Amino acid sequence: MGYLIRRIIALIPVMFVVATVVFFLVHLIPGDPASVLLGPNATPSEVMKVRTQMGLDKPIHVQFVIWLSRIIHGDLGNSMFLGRSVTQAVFERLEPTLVLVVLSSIVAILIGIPAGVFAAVRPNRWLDKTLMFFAILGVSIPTFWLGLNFIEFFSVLLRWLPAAGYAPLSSGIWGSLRYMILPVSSLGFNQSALIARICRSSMLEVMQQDYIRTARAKGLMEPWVVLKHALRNVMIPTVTVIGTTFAVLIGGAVVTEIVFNIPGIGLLIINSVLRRDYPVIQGCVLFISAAYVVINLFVDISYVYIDPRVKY
Amino acid sequence: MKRKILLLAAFLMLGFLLSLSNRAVSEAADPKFGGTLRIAMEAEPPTVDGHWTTATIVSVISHHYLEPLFTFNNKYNIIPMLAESYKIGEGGKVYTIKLRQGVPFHNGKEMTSADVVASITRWGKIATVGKRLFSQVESFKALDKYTVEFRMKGPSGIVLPSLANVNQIPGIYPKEIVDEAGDGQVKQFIGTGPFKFVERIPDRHIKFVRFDKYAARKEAQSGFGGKKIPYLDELFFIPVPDVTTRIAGTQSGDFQVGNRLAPDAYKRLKEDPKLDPVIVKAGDYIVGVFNKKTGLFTNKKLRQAALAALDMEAIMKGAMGQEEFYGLSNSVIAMRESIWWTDVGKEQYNQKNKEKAKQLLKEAGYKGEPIRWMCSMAYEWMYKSSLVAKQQLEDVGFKVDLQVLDWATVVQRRNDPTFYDIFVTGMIFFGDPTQVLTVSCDWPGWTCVPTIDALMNKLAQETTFEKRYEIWKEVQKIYWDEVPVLQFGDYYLLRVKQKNVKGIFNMIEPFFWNAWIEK
Repeated sequence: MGYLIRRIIALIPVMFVVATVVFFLVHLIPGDPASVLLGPNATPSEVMKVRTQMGLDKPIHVQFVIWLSRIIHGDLGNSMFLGRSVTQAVFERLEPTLVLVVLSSIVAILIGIPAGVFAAVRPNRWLDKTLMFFAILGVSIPTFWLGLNFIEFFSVLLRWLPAAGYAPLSSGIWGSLRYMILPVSSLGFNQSALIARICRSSMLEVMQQDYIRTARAKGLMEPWVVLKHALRNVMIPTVTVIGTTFAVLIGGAVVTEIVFNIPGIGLLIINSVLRRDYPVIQGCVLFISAAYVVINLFVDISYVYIDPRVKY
Repeated sequence: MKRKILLLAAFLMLGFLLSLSNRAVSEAADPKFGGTLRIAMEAEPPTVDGHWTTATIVSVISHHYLEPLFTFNNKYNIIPMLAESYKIGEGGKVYTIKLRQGVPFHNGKEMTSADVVASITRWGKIATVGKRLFSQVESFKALDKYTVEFRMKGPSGIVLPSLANVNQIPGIYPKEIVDEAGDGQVKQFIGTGPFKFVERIPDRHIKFVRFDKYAARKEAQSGFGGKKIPYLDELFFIPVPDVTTRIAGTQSGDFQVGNRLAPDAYKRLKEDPKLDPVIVKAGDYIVGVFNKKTGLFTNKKLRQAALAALDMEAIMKGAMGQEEFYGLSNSVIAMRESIWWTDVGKEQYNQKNKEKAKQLLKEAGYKGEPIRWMCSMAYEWMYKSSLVAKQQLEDVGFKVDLQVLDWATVVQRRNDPTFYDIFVTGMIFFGDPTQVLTVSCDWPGWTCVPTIDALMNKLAQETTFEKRYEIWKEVQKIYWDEVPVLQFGDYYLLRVKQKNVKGIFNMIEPFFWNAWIEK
């Protein structure tokens, strides 16, 4: 419990540093939200007027203090383009991103761990080589390329699944899942490859350990040796990879979200950067940083359950 | 006997087939109510407030719920929309506009002069065209419930073209919505248009439904005006920024319309039996705008040298790829159907005269200073046209520093003359010469030429078309001599729709009030 409290308190300086860096980074890059908002025909004087309305004419340190004092009160501000608060904008995007990331992580785990285990049990045999061929393929193929090919084949040619978009879970599970099958498959395949490779290399190492030899010597059946003694020891690096991947994907499934037009956090960030919607960029980055830290915390806590030797 | 029976059977069969085909023809011809249209748009609009921005995408979307007093027909002449009629008095100083009666807003309230005064006054404070109009207005007020009056400081020819402006639509909102907005954007999107705004979920969709009580005009549809019928139950404008996804989504049937697609996709779309690709000549053209406030191109000879060097055919081919997607024209108002189209000054366009360019460079005293050329990859044609033009300019002795930036940076930096010598952008349809940006002294690039300014003022005050057209031709002549911009050529847009979607009218942008779906 003490560990948990310490970790949560440690979150505060991390978030402060992130907030400061993000604020100055987005304000220092060139580009102007007022010019984007007013469109190509606006005159410089019209742009200046809207910049003043947006508070962008104030010195940057003044803008920073205003923004920081708002954040301390839990207010991330309002989007300059979306007609809603940053918090609302982020939470609207959370569902598509979470559905995408959770489902693709499940797919990745279901493919990656068994593939890693089977490959490691009989190293350098045909099964290992075949599985690792696919794993290298999965790591090498860009997600967008795979996604576009899935769209071409399953949506354009066969017309089985929608090419783009998202249906919220509230509109029905199957309706929502239909939109997710292709993006989840392309993202999941990519992630599974990484998990499979990590799982295999850890497994190979574990299989050389004395306790595995002991387990075999006392007459345990091989599947039992693998599942009970080896797999559990492989889980620490594997869970770390899964956790990190999950955290990265929360804000980083950008390419998949663009290709399949899924209105998630990644698409929100990209669009906000392109139109210089400062409050939204800042809000998203803060949110993702918090998510990253929290997920890592969960990963650390999970070690205790996976490996009884770990204590905090 | 057997032959007679066969003959009779053949006649009967023929009759049956004819009746079937007649029915098929009448079914194809008769529009039907119902259905949902999902339109894949190129971006998320920055707002849905039609007054607020000059962004074209906002104009497309807001035209479905918001209507102006005047608009353009298919010959690009001005016709009344929410106005019933108008009268010009005192030699062009007073415009009295009668409004249509019994036109309801989506909130059930009838549109009256109070709403018109509130909306147009707000638009006059916000919109680029509105501000120019109101700089000439002495007073604008309601005379009675259905009549408004513009009293101008002098004779004016820009009242009607400004009120028909397509790009930053002078649409009519209910007065209370305008009052509620204050200095900001409107919070409720209520108008008199054929479709009612339902919701905007950013990056997901903007949804409209049919406005059952829509008060349509009696005249046949023409251009943006005439009789509008909302056949469709629902309209979804879906932002799909990735062009490949817009194409694939229309091919897969997820979208019924795909807007602004890459010309490369034309052949593939043409081969798809379910789709109708359309090339739209919307009056758009590519320009490299000179910074005439500071720096190298304050020197007119240097601008003329650049113009003399360029081979516009090569630039446009490089920019658009296929011949179907560009045209060569020197008209500053590029829409061929427009009453303002003219080829005055054509001898200066597409000269591809390297010797002349070199001579002018020498006369200008150019010493190889790098030219800062800003462009963006946001639109491929901006970048590709820049690449070809750079090469051609370097061939005659210019030194070009091509700066490829994102669009948000370009639109910021072009407002500051210290950042650039040329920036590349697109010009869109202008309903009236007074709206042309590249002859304006207050738009980036700063075309401040006293002779042009004097003629533009005269043009704004003149009320008869013939005289205005002569003045405009004079302006265009000076434009090609002064070279405020490098006008490369017209570019066309690619749009695609499912074959069973009918009645979409493809002018500058796609509009869906008379569109319907064949079952």
